[in-house]
Amino acid sequence: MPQETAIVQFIRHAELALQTRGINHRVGSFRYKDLGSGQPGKPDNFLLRLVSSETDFFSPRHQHNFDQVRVQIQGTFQFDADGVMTEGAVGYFPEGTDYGPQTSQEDTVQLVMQIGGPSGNGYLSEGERTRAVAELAGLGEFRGGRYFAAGSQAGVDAFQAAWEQAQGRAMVYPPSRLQRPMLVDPQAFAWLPAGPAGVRTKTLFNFGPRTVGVMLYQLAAGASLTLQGPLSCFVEAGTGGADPAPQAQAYEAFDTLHLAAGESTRLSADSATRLIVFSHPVFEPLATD
Amino acid sequence: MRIARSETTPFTPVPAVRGGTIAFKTLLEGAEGRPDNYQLLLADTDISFKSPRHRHNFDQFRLSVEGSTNIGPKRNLEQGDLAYFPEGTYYGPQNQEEVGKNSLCMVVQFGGPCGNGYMSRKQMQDGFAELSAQGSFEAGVYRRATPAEDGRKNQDAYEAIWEHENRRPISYSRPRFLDPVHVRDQNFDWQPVAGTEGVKVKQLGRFTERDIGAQALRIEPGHSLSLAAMPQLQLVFIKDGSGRFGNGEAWSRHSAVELAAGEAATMTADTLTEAVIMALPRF
Repeated sequence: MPQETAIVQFIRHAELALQTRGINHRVGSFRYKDLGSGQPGKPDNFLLRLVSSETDFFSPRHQHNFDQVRVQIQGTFQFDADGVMTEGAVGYFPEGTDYGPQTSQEDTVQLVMQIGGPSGNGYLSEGERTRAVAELAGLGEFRGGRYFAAGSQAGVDAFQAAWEQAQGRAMVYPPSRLQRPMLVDPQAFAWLPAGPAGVRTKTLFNFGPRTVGVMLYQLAAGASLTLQGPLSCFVEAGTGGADPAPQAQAYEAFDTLHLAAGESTRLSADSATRLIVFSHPVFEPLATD
Repeated sequence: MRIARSETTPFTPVPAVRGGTIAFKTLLEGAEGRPDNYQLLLADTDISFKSPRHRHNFDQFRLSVEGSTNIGPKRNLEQGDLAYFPEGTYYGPQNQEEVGKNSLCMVVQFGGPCGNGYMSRKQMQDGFAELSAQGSFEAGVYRRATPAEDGRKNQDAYEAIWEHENRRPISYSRPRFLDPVHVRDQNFDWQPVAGTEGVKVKQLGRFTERDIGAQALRIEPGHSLSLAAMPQLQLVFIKDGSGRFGNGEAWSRHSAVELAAGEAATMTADTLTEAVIMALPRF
């Protein structure tokens, strides 16, 4: 049995202030609550964010050098030929895969996990990104999701510009492992028993140990489930408790737990609970070809 | 364990359910009537092959073995690419003329997570023959000489055969994925297998609540790999190379192997071997 140890991060949603993205490299209104992050500089660094966008959001067709999973909590997001995310949909946007342009014509809420992908490029922390965008804003202009250095007509993707400013080197996008982003309808999956009484699960997808994977859990009132890190667990609905003592916490909807490798915790549901679990990538040494 | 050798298995004509020419070399088949029934084949797709936009009530893996295979407008499976076509998810239309030449694909069609199963080759051939007496198959569409009781005259060819064989309307599960999942194998990094020299793997993906999955493996000459037993059927397709299983059975290029649920195996390579292992749904 794994030893249950302290929870690395317990994020209580109700205690978080709604922030507005003041220095933005995309287009449109953007408010958010940050639900936890990893360690800057590590290949498995991550940021989990609950994002509220309004009707004027636009992002040009682009790709990331990190992995991203989105869960559509409210509203609809369009990704042009790549499809539409309606309420409840889960989207996997792997590093190196182009997608979009992305627009919305209504108020939306998305849970967004951004995390280092299998290339090992890691994920630029919010502090690193904010500093880089502020520095670049004094040297050129962000326009339409792209950055134009002063006197230059040739823009680059805005995030790429920020990443290169922060890292001091050119960004090399990893080759695309998936030809398109993968949009999933979890409601089409069947719940299956997960082992403990009163617990059911749906595995949505997993692309190996160096990538983020997504599982859903459903706990009946009174049921318990032990989770083992490294992972992030978002409480979609329900109330209950997260052991062990002395850091036992009561959870409610939209609270989040993050467990590092080797850590575990037991969740006990007081009321019917739904969880969205993001398994984190684990970086073992690569094979040498 | 069951093993099929490509060099001793002929290509056979395929009923013209879709448009144009395609030839199948069926290497392995499962058990008719079971939810995990399957057919593993090599498909030689002629430049003339066309198929309308459609969906299946079963799951499918395709691995492009030689050349490019068109799976939709401006969308080709390039050599080495693997795609997962989940039940209920629309794709196509396919038109191999977009590629401009033939291709060779490994295809596994198998009962999907909803448990509908997979229509066997015999059922397909019987249904095609019987329906041909009452209408015609043209470019993937079955055209009835006289309308059916519900008034339908034209129908997707596979649907028409399925309904004829099963004596009930076909039903499709709500699609779990918006699109087929198109995996570019060559852009995944090889990973070592802990405690095993000379073997590397790539996890190409695991999908759905039924734990359907695919992984690539590479075994250096003289090295061995133990394939762990799984609670579901596993299928191994040899992309290239030669060697032997622990029971002495030899494999060669394009051999296909079935491991039953709960069955383990050891592979020892004589020449550099690359293969893909697919896990069918766990029921």
